[in-house]
Amino acid sequence: MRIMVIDDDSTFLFIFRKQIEKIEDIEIVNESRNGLEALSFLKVAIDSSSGCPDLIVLDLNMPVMDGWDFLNEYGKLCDNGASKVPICILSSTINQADFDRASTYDSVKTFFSKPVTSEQLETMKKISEIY
Amino acid sequence: MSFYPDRNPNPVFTMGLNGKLEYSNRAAHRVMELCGSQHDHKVYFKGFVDFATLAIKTKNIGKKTFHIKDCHFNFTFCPRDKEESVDIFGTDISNTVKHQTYLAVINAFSIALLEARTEDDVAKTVVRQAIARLNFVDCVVYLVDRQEHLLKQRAAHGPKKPKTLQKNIKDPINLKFGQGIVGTAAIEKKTIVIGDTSKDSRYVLDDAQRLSEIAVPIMIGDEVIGVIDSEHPEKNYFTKEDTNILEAIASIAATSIQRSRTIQEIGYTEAKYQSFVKNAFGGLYIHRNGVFEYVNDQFCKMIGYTSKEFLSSDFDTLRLIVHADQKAVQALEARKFGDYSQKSYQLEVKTKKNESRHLVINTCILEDEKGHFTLGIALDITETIQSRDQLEQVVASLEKKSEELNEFAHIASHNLRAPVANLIGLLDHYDHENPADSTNKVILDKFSKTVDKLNLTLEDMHQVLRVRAKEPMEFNIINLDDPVESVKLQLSEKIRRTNFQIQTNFEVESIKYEKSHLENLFLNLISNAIKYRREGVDPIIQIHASLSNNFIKLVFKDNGLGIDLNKYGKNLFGMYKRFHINTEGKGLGLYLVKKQLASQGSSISVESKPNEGTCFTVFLMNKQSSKENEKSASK
Repeated sequence: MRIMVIDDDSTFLFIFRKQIEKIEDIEIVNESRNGLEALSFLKVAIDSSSGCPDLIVLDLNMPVMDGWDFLNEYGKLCDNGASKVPICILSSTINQADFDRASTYDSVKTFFSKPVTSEQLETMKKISEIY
Repeated sequence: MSFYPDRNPNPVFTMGLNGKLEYSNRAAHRVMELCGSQHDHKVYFKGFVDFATLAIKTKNIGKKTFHIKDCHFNFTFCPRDKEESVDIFGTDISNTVKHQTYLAVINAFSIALLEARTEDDVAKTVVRQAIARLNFVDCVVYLVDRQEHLLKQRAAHGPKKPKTLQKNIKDPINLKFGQGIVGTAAIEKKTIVIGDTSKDSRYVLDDAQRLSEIAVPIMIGDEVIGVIDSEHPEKNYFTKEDTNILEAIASIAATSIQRSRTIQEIGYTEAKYQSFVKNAFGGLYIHRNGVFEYVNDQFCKMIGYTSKEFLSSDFDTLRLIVHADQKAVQALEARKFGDYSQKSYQLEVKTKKNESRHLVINTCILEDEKGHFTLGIALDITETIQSRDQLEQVVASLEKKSEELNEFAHIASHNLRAPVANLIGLLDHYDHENPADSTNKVILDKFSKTVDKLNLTLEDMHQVLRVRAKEPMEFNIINLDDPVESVKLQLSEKIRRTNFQIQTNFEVESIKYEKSHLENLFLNLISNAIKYRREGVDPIIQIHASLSNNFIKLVFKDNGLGIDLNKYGKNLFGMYKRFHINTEGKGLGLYLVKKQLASQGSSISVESKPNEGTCFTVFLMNKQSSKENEKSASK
């Protein structure tokens, strides 16, 4: 499974990489530090069948372009015919309003709060297989 | 002398020169008795002999009326042709004269009554214009006090008459219905004439005992409203004629009293109505075809113009009201014809002093003989609106505070959770078996940085709460170079590494301000300029200070990355917003700076373009007196 991570927190990325290493058949194909970087990667990757990720792990609170703006822009990209890659939000928020807001996006399949557990990573893997 | 009819009821005389009486019949004797003379003496009442002598001498027939006491006679003087004598034929016209007097009295009385406005006026007119002219020695008018159900003396002629006009009646007595002759007349509703009061037990002694009494009720329909009472010292004084004239006076008086009562009642109602309209809680006005016809005091007070100005001037407030009312009229006309129901609307008007007042106006269309007109009732709700506005402001400010607190709680929890989650994650991957493992070193390094970040976040939160709690500040006179030096010291390593330049140009030397706020301002703006420096240019920040009224204006201009304000302007001073990557920003700095400035009445604004640099302008509320400022600037 190929996953893409969008998060600006280098410490989190370090930990995330360590966790992924322990699970089989998962590789990180892209690390973006904000929504804008992620979009420019996706615009190219979506057209190439080999480069397109199976799952996007998205943080919400980021500089330049935050998770919400990314979701809006990503939706527009999908409307243009791009295949929908399922999204898993992985944020330190525990605010109900954020959960509710996330559920309004079709592309968002699940929402986990940091720190992420290995069970949650297994769930993410299953999700990418379903969609 | 058979042609001198001795039984003729009219007086007949034959008189010679110098009043020599040659003949007189029985009736003539009576006349002479009235004059106080004997029948064989001369008729001596003045003018009579003179007139007879004139007739004898001129031989002309003469006619003359003579008044002898209460008696009145017409005499015809017929001189004899061949004798020095005159035949005098008299006619008793006393009754005719009496009737004429009565008529004259009634006439004068009726006219005088036209001036009477009150019941007391009527009572006084009865005694002054009627009774006094009729030569009654005494008369009192009683009127019924409807509340106490008593007959009260209200006007008097004779001994009971007051000495001055202003004064009320002398020692007035009150009678119950049925008490005395007066009370009896009132209860029996008919005239009572007593020929001898000494034989009548009902007689009530007033100021003096008198033998004759007449009491005539004054009646409106079947209701007794008063009694005219007259007494006379002689027995059997009052005649049928007296009864008639007093009853006539009573009847006229009754009509007049009824009229005065009606006028008074109308007056009361009118006065009540006028007082109500004048002093009504609301403003009242009437306008017709765009012209004001009436405004009450309250309405004048509301808008600050006099009623004269209202009714004669044409100014904006009037036009506004008239126009608004006409709109209401149009609305009414749009309804079913004839539906003139009330219309209510709110209006803001300017007073004479150009103050704004909010009025609620209720209008309706009414109709009189001149056509349709608008009646408006205005209530001043300015205070209500003001307190509502104040309340709304308080609510808005509370809502904003609550929203800010929610945001703070949310972001604080996020910014605490994120590093804590990282700490947990890092610990999970620490290899306890091999402490010397190279990954462990990285983990410990990251652990340490995360703990530092957590500590800074906690410190920031503490600062935010301190500003919010409005803790008392300590103001000191600070040399503007001090915070610059302090920041240079704190950031010395970064400044050295990035070769960062700080240029200052301070026209003002010092400021009285809270030291920690000032240092935080300089630290944030300078460290931001270092963080967001642009690659390829020599990074610099220029700080300029000048005096601007009560403020000290500080301008921080850098040549860094700049910010796209169209995109991020509204979030720039928000909590935990970062606009650049690859930096260590916590995102709280500018938020805290703005909060601290605002708490002291200072302000901050920003101008920036991407890749051109950023310019922050700060107005610091100087706590120094203006004298200290001048001193500070002149140094």
